[in-house]
Amino acid sequence: MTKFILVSDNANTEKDLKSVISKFSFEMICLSDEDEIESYINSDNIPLFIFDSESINLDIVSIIRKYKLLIQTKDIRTVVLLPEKNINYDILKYVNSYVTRPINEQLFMSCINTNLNLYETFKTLSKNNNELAKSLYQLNVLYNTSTQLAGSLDKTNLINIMTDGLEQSLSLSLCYALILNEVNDIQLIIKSIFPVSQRLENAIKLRALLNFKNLFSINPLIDDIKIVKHNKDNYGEHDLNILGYDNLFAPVNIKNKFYGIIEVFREQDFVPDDTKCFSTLVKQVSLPLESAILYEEIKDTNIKLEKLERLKSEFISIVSHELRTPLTSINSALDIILKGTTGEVNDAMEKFLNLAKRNVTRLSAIIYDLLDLSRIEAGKMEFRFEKANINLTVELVKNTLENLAKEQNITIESQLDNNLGMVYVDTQRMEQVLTNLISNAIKFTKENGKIEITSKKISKEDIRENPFFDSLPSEMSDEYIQIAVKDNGIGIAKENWNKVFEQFKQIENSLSRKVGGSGLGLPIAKRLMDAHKGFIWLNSEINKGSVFYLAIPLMSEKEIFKLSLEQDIQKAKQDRLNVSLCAFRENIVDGKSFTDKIISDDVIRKNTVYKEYSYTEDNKRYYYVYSVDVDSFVFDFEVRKVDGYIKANATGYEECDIVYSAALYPRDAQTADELLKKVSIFSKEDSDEKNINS
Amino acid sequence: MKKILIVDDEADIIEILQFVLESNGYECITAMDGEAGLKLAREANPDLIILDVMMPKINGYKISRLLKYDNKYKDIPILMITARSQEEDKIIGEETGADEYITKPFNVDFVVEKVKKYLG
Repeated sequence: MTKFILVSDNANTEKDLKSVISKFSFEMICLSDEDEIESYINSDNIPLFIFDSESINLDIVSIIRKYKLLIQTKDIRTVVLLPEKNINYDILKYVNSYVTRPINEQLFMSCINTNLNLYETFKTLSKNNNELAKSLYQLNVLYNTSTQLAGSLDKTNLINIMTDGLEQSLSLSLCYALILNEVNDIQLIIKSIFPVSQRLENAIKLRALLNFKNLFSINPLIDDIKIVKHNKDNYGEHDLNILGYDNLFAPVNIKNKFYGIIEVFREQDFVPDDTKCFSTLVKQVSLPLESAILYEEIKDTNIKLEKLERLKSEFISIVSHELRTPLTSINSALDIILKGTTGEVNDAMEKFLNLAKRNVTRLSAIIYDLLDLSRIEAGKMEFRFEKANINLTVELVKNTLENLAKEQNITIESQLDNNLGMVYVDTQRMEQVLTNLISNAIKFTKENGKIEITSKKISKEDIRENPFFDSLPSEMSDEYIQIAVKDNGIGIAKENWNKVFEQFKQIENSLSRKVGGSGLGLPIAKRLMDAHKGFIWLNSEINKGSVFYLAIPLMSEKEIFKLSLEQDIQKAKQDRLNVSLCAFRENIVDGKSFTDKIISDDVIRKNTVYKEYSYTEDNKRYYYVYSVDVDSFVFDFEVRKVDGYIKANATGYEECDIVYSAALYPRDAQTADELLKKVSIFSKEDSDEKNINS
Repeated sequence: MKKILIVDDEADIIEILQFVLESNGYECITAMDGEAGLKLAREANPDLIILDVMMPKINGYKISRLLKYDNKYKDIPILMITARSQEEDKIIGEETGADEYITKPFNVDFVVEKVKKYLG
């Protein structure tokens, strides 16, 4: 039966209304004491209040005004009974409807019913509204949580984000997650509003473990579990009664594998929406968890690789230092004895001491070769490329090895073309390659043999048509310098031609043992030629002799400048340095060059090493200069300084008409090409760009 | 008699160098780590110093630098023995001021030749 309240101390009113409602199923409570009103409002089961304005002692207007706000928040309907005459209309501002005396039964009942209906409608609406707000909140939490999940690659952090999301969206009392990182790494995360009692903690541990064992085929020990606890407040305590609360449970899956379990508890029962929210959140964590695990694996592999690389470097270092020192001692000791300083050495002793010495020398050669090879393979070989006349290098090596050849009555002849042009090489490494080829020739040539060294220019096509190469790089220089070392020794069978350049694949082991050497010389030579963008090959006939060929790319000054810029940019990339490039163009008047003065006056280079390239064309001088390891601040400063310098000194050089431009790696460009393009401000006029970038 | 200071952490190398140099008529004093070497270099008035690069406490490069930047000692010739190892590569390139470099494995005659070049 629907209840409503009449606030009145007028017995007539009560009597009148009772007679009206007696025909309907309503219950009316009449309050004549103001103090009782509030408790009825708060009881939440009174939909309607009727205030009697003809109360005798009660000040109805002030009562209505006093409770107006409270009544409104409860969506309670209010009706006021007004007198027939002398109506105080002011009161109507505070109530929903009014009924005037004398009471018309039909009108009164329709007013009551309308208000009761409205109350019900309001109630439903606000309930829907609350649910909507709750859903919206949950959605919001879900969204935030998934954003956070996407931003983390740490497993524990991901689980924490998920449990935080669950706590927020479901207002949980307690939540725990048991996570299996590895068989021996099991973590139990307990999150609750209040601190958890020891009894509850043990119970959760046991419960989690039992749940866990049901899902996983492994049997972790209870002591293996690492517990992490979080609680929001520090007062109060959660005890075993928590386990009687409503709960939700889910396994955490990664792909089709279990990763852990999660269970949540709440004093209030869960509704279907909560369950949906719960399962969505738990599902959402699985993808980022998978990424996190993959990320960890990659990180682990990387750390292992780095460690291996470090071990390798350390090994190389140990080989180089720790082996060389004892070898030095042995070698020196042998020398001292052999010289007779420590006493007379008889023939047999000398023979064996010399044998020992030869082998020490061989051992140190092997160590050098091993070191070189591992440095090249690790990309750690440092090359000092420079402009060079390769014929000079050939002559130098020839002169060094001539004595060795004479010992075996072998003659070395050279026929070198003197108009070859310059190459861009690390001369020391070229010496190494040539030394290897010529000393090989000496080793494998019989007494009274002859070695011939020739050099000449060859074209790209010559190499392309060479049947020795199965494949060639797509980018090749147009011209090469070919150096041939020809002997009339034992020769190499055709099936072994390629093998001689492979490391540790010596042919005819017995022979190479007889002649000494590490057997790594040619593989190193091959790799050194690769580093020079050159080629090495051979032609041979058994018992007639072999010819080893080298092809070194020929380059113009421009190409060499570009190549060195490219190489320095590569180095700068590794060391995180800058490369600054400046270009000038001036009109040459009376043979005076202003750009030369800029360089010689130290405007550009300060203390840095710089490389330059210049050429004159149509009475215009072009000047390119770059330096490494100038930070952008210094660089800007330098450019401004050049600018200032030009302006300050322009009087004498006005007619020179200097144009200049500057660019910085990596700020302005990423490659040598791009950098050169950046500074080619005058490219359109004279196709300079084409020249430098060709 | 000209006095040579040999600083090396390898006792064998010291012994060999000492033997060879003494049989060539030089007096030798020795130290087995950088700290002791630097102390002797400053206190014992050597006419020439043979320095190993990789040594405990103070490396050869540093000793060389310390001596060469000191007016009192800068005229003492320094022969640096290097194994060209990776650690050395890292510190190489620093200005050391050494007069000669001898690469391991070295030839004793070569060392004597270099010493003679400075001490006659």
